[in-house]
Amino acid sequence: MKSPANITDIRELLRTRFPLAQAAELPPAAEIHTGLACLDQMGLQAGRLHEIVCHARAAGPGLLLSALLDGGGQEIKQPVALVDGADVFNPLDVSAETRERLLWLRCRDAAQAVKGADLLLRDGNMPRVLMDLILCPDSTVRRIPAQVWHRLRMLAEKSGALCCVFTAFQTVPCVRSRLVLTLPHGLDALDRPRAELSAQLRGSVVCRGMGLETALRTAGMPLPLAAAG
Amino acid sequence: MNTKTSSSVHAAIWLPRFALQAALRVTPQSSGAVLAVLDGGAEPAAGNEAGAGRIMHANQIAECRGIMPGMTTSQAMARCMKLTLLHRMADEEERVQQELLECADRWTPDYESTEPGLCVLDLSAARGIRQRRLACGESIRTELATHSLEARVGFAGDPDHACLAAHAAESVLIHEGGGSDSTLLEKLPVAVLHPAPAVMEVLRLWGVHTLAQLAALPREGVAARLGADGLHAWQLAKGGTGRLLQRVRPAVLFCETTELEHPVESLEPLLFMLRRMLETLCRRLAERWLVAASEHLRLTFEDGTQHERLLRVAEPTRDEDLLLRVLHTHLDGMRSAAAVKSVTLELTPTRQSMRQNLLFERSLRDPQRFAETLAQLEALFGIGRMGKPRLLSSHRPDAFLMAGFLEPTPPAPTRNDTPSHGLPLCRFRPPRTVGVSLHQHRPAFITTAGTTLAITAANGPCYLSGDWWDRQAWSREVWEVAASDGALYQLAREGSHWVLDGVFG
Repeated sequence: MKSPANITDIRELLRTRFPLAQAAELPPAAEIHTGLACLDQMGLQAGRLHEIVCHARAAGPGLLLSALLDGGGQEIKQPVALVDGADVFNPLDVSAETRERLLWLRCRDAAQAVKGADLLLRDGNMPRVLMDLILCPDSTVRRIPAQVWHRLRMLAEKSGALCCVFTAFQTVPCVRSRLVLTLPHGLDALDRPRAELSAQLRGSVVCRGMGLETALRTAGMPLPLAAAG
Repeated sequence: MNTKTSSSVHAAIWLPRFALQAALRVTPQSSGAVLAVLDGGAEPAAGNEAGAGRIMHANQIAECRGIMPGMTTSQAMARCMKLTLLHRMADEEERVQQELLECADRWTPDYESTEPGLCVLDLSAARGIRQRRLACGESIRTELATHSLEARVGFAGDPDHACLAAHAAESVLIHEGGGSDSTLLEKLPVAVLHPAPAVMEVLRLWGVHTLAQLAALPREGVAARLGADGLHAWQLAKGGTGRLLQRVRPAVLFCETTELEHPVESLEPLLFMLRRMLETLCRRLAERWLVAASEHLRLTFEDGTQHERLLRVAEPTRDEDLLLRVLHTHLDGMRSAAAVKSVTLELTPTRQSMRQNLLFERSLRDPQRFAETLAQLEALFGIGRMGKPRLLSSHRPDAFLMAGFLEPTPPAPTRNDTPSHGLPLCRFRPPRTVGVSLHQHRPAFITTAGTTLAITAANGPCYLSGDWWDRQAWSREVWEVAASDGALYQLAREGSHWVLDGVFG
């Protein structure tokens, strides 16, 4: 069916006025390397939204959170914001230098966490915004509509901030990449060095590439794992 | 001595034996007493133990008995057993100096607080002062006498000569230059110039005791042998340095208060008033090339309550719109039970920042916008729910406070005991009360909210305690347990009840 002429004119006008919105390609984003194998396999990029899913808390997402807060791999340490959905962050888990450049938002629920992240991404001053929703009640996290995540993704792209969301189940629909941590640790892990635990974290990574192509990569050393859909 | 005349008129008010006069105002003594005041207070300042216990000023009767400034207590007592020793009173000396300056302020706004007990006035602009100098001096002495202070006043054409005239005067001395006045000044001891102790000692060894003797020395020789201090003293003895007064200026307050005839209940009229106050304050800042680093807002309500808040500005500025936006964001989230009846706004002035960022530190892109965002976040989350965490100096678990993100880093190093082993702990705030069943003195089951979890493995116990010396004493028995749901928990017993501190991961 042929579109009415007025619709065509409107499309042309929009294409002229907002060329970036019509672009098939996003501008290239800076890659972020943390030194941790599973995080680097995710291909973290500034201006993108990423998700780390942890079905079992004992799988060690806190190690990845601490690494991202500490700014591992950064030569120039930048401020970082932590949107703590359930107010569970322990300040002792990061160094004093990190605490001085950490903006910690102690939220009461997931809805407040989303509002806080929205304000920070709109502001554009924080180069790194981390959301920890793992210990938020599942029902409150499921209630966050998909368009909210899309909005956060667009705000991250506009501001150039790295936005990483930690969840207990797959939640965010529009992520650049998703890491799923699967293997929980035992009680013996509490006596092992953190560097060793971080290096041995295992999970599966799903990345979304250009043109909506999906690529499956495996992460973790030394055994290859089954691909996660 | 140089006796050139000048059209300017300067007056110096000198309080002889300043420290002794201040001490006597607090502890009056009989008129015939032999008195001296010791340098250093009742507790001498650190590093000044050598000066402590030496005579600083002695009254005339004590000086007649041979008690001179600089003597030790034992030397002074050896000359007169009836000597009464007083200690310096720093607070009283400040008060006396303030009264001296207030007296000067009544004659002219151009005056200098030269040193404790001495101030110099520039009376050149006073009409007909030349004819009234004697009366002026007597009037100043009379006024200070009402405050139990003995003053001597000297008049001259320049500040240095005026100071010398005040030292030479018995009550009021007008130094016109030449004649007996010059002779009087020339006979003054070198000590009135307050040279450095080393210079004073050399002059004493040379036999130079008076200003006339000092002025007779060759300039080049004095400069070569006594250095800059000696040259300065020589210049003063010769005829002054022609210096300008370092005028005392009252402190400028960047504070405005408005009392409202009709209390304000809504935000718009309050913002209108705040804008006008900011216009005045920012203009005052601009006159002095200053900017505002923070805003202190105080609102007084009709029911007597007050709301006070210190709002920091990310990047110091005197832009009224920016400063008003910070206030607006803060007030937007505020609720009160009564109307506002008075508003006080004070800006903290500072110099325009000229700091250079550290090489490995990146500053914010838009500090002003970030400050507004922080204010919005604080309105959303509440005070104490956002910022940067600062650990307290305590081993109590979870001891920290929330500091403003823009607050500067404290100079003292904070605790840095980041664990290097184990998984990070996610703390429940507050810790969750649980029921624990024990088996052979070890936790076996955890019961919480109707759910029972079996404990598959447990590490512990680890005993912690602190603050045993006061009412905040605490002690805990801590266990690390693996539960049947696959999670690793930190369990603690405090007294008789059990709590879940958090989950590891």
